[in-house]
Amino acid sequence: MSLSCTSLAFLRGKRTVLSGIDFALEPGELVGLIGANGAGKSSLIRCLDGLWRANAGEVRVDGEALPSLTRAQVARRIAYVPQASGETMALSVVEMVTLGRAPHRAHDTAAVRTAKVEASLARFDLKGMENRAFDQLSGGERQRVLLARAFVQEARYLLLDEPTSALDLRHQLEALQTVRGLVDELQVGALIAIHDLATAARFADRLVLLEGGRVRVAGPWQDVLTPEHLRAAFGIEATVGVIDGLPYILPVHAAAQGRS
Amino acid sequence: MIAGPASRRAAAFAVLGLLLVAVGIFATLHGVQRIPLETGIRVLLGPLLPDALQPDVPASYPAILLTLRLPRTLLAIIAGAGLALAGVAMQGITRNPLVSPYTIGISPAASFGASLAILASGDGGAGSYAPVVMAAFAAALACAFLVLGLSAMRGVTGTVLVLSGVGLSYLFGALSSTMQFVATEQQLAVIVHWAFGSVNGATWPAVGVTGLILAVAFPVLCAHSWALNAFAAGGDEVASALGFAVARTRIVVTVAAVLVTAAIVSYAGVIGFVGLVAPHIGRLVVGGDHRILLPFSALVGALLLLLADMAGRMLFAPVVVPAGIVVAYLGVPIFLHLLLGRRRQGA
Amino acid sequence: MATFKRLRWPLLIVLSLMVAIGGAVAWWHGAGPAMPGPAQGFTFVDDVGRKVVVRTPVRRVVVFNRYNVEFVRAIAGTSPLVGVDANTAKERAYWPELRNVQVVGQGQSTPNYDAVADLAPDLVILPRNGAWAEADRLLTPLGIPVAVVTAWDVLKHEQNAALLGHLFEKPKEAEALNAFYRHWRDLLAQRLQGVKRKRVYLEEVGDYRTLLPGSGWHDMIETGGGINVFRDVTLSAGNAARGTSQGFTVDPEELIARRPDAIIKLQPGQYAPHPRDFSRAVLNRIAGRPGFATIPAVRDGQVYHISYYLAGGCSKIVGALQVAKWLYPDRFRDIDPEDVMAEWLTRFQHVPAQRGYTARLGEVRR
Repeated sequence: MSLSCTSLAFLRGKRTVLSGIDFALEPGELVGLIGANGAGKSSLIRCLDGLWRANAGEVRVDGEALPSLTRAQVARRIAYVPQASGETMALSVVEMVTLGRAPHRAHDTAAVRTAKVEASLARFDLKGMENRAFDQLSGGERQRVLLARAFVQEARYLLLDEPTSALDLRHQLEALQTVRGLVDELQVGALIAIHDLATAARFADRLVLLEGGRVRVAGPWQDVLTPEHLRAAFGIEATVGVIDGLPYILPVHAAAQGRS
Repeated sequence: MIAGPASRRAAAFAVLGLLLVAVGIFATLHGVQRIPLETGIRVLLGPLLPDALQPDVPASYPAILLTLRLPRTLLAIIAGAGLALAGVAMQGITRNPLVSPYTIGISPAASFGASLAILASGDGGAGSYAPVVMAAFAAALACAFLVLGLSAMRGVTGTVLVLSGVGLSYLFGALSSTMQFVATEQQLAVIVHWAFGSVNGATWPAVGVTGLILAVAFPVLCAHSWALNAFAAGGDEVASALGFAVARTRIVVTVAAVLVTAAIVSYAGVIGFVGLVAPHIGRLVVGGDHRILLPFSALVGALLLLLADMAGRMLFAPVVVPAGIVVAYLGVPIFLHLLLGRRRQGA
Repeated sequence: MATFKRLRWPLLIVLSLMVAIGGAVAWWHGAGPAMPGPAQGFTFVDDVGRKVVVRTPVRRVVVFNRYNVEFVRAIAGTSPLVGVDANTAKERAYWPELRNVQVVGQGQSTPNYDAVADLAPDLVILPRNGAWAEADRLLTPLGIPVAVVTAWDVLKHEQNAALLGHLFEKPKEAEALNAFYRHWRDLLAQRLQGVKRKRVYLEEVGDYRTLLPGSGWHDMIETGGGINVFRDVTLSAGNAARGTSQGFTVDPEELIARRPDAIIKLQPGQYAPHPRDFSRAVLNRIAGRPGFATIPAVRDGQVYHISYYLAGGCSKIVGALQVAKWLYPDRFRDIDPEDVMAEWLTRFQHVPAQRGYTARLGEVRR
């Protein structure tokens, strides 16, 4: 029971974006996907959701190969939360959240659909905002809406592509806390691509560090966020430590040589 | 605030629907000759009624009603609704609010097809109706086919659709102009007359064909409401992530939109503006949920074109101004009013 | 299949809709009381080969296109006219009797069928470049015959006049018109025999736009004894066909190279002639075009400004006469085309004659 890929490779034209990726996401765990820009985080997430077709290797969800499933079947198992950006052509909050039931619309009755959407709105503190235009919301509010949509999808696996990049500190914290809550409570498996290493270390059960399209190292944050790995993958000299039980990473300066 | 609660939307629907029926009846009964409502109903039900209830009017009344007025009203409604639906669909799948049903080039293509048929026909084209309609339709479909084919080669994205549509628009436009350049005056008159967007020459076959195609396209498009919402929410990736087959949806929706538009253009010429603006008026009133936007925009489009045709007939009577010319005069104030009103309220 | 089961209801709805629409259309299509046209009457073949049956004499007629209305007025007067198009009627000075006649549409492309039907005419006349096919579709079920008569087609002048004479039962008037036309046409042919033909450049309203074979104006030049310097240009079988009056832009260099003996500027005009100042400005502008000073026509002052009205009078025969007089003044010393135009206006169109429809560069040159 997992969302896994073996020997995954993905090419963009001539460029190799991902190669030889072996990875598995189990229900009930929160995995942080980290790496420098261009390391392949977004590409991996898209390949795992079947948005982009891998050139080699296999993706399986709960034992079934991804290409053998219809898009709707995939959507019932995997929820994808994109970065909150772009115009949405006049959709309201409730309409956006209702879209999360799209994979289930063949079997939903109107009552069931409404009930689930209402529950999600309540959970993500969106009550009272149902009819506001999505485009007019702040970054934090939009993030809550997208999470609410993913929640209503009732998928076992959540893939989040840099959900916190455009958020302020408080909303970053809230977003990760929410996801952590979902993982713990509902036993979903969540994979978050994220830039903020300290936050990733704090909330994730384990980290996966991508470098140049390959998995450089994976495991608990203490094993991953070592000065040596940070230098190689991010090109920085950094200090790593713990304060009040929370991990921190302090970049000191760029590494003497550029990373490969 | 873009969309009130469901009751507000229901009210908007009801109002528009009633308005459409009322205007439709008014338009059918009014013209140079004003036919009273009771007579009108009796004429419409004609064959069903026993002799005693037959309307006691000159024989020309039923003839005028059934041959001139009713087809015209119905064609205006069908054309307006069809173009609006096609507009919503095309804007939805290209995520581009500037798109209209003609963006992929089917209007100059239809013009070209019609011009070809007119030039090729033996009697200078003025007599051949069915071949011209069929040629226009075929050319429009061929253009759509080309555009979709081009897109399929480069990935069926919204941008590719729009760009290849623009390119083919120019190509077919130049071809049309060439036809006109070498046409005789008689043929030219027919070509230009055809291209005028007007329901002045509406006949029952026109109503039948366009009506049937609309009857098929409307449910098809409505069935894709969820998909269109998903496109609106985040484009191809979000739609795919939510379980929609993106390329296939785009093709099906485009084909449905093209069929409706091609049929309308083939019979009524190029009526602009409705397909571009009715969707926006719809969005301003009921929001962007396509499950409601599609039928509502259809109502808006139908009402808009019907009013335009009526205005064209009555404001300058006895001169008839083609609906295609009037519709922009009518629609722009409505659109601006809604747009500005929203601005003041909203962010 | 599961898909079919899921689509069962939508499919049903679609099918019902289609049946409903198809049924309604078929019903109403056939339900209108068929108003048959006249079963018996005068049968003829119109300009596009249609067989038309009309009860004669026609007492109520709707006519589109100014040239058609002119012919009707010449032969039957304006009393049978119950409807005309706005393009014709708006020239109030030329059509004083039409003040009380119903306008039934802007022009021959957008007839107001409602208005036409309301008038219950005996006949509707449209030229062949009008929306006659559409009118046929819509009016014939109402029992109103549609006939295509193209009065602006000069080659059919006598035929058209005779037909109208028949329709309105005015054979004498039709014959009078034809006699008038034939007299001047034959006179032209006779006096132009053996003449050494001069070369003419004919320009319509756009700069450097000329008319090619296929256009009635081209015929006018040739009938008047001139040679259209661009008569060798044919773009396609299409535009060589009759009925073109489209202008084609020519290269000024080519025009200068062809050295026309006379330049005739055809100006759209109304019943009232162009003001002298306007004519003067037009002619001087032409003379002043780059390179034109070398053209024989400009050197000799043989640049003419002519109003459509005169040129088109009575199937362009007046225009042809004017051309002939300009090109060969010796042979036509006793003929004043303006007099012929005056006769056309007073005797056949029942309006006062106006004069001054032409101007010559030699007269107005700065």
